[in-house]
Amino acid sequence: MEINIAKDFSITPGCRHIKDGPFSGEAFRKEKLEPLFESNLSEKIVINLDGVEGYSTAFLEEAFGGLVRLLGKEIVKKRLEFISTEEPFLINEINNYMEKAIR
Amino acid sequence: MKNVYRAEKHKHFNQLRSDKALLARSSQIKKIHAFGYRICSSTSFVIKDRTIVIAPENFSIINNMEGFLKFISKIDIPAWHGKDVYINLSEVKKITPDGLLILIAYLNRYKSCNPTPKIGGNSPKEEYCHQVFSESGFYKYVVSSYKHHNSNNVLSVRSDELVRSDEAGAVIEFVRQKFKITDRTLTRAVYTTIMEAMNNVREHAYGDRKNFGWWLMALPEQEENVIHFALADNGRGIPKTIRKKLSEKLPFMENDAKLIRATVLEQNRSSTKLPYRGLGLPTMKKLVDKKKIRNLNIISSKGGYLIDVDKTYDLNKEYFGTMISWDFIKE
Repeated sequence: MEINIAKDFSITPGCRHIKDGPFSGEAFRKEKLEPLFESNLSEKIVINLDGVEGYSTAFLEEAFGGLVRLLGKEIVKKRLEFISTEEPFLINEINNYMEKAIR
Repeated sequence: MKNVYRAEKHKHFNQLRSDKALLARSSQIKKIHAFGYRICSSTSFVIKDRTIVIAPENFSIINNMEGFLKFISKIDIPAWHGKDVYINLSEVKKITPDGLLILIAYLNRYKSCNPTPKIGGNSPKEEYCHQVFSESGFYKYVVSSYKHHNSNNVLSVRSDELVRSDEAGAVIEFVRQKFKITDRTLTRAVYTTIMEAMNNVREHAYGDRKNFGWWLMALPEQEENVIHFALADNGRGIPKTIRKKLSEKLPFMENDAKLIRATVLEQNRSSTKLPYRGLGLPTMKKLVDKKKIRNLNIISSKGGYLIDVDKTYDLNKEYFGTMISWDFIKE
């Protein structure tokens, strides 16, 4: 299963919370990520980060760090994989957010 | 018959004569035919209850901090008390987006004044500056007969209360068209910087106060591969909103510029106290370190911080809000 953020969500990812603006990290998590964790417990989810205008730290932290706060680090890290050919350092950054996410 | 005045009246007429002499010396003032004026200083005076404020030649807070803040304060004092102000822009010869945005942010503050002052003005004589004021949409924010002209030379001022990633995307489109860039990765740093700046305004600038939002503008340098950006708000200012250490709370240790620097260099200074927050300004610094953006300058309350050269500075007058400016250079 692959989610391409640019194609499946928005080319202009936004802020942290839904109330603060369009295409937020919270909206991405709720609309795209959480349903996949509810439906199938074993399938790998590949997140393609390429093709967007850019990311704010708040978007990435809330989408992936927020998922860890919701479901736990082990479950999330076991299933999520990332592709970023345009900016490979983003993968480290996201892993860092997931490591530091606390409930 | 010769009039004989009492001492007070004599003093009054003497003052009036010296005011007239000063008026005559100022080329900006010569054209104004009115009675009952009162001069406040060489850069502002009052005619029929309306304060006339003369804008500085260098209309920029980053290049003319003292002159520009003085100019803003000349507007701020009467306007805040509901008095009408006329801004004389005719002598403006240089302009950067930070100056224009700060003025717009201040004008927005006066909407809540009772009575609401009428702010009007004229246009710079210098052709390029006239074009910038006109195409930026500045005249929408004041009482003016000048019309807004769209062009591809200036990105008109954008504003909102929310974090508008679509607006940030439109700015990036402008940059790509201007520099004829097709590779998205080259402009990502600008997008991220805009988003971080908008996020900071939304989450921290206004607190419980009514959210007046942010103002954003981009201005390409003439005949150079540089675009200047600025994003301003009129919120509480970074020094008042960050989580302070005990030593920073002591009155004699308080320094706004150092507090701004600490917010940039140390993560997690967010007032939310959550360890995964307060990442915005440190992220901007990373982009400067990678030379993706240049000349990143933060001005807030009574201090400023130039990130590229790690230099803090104090402001001679308080700026009520935060202004972040930076440059994008096409290599």
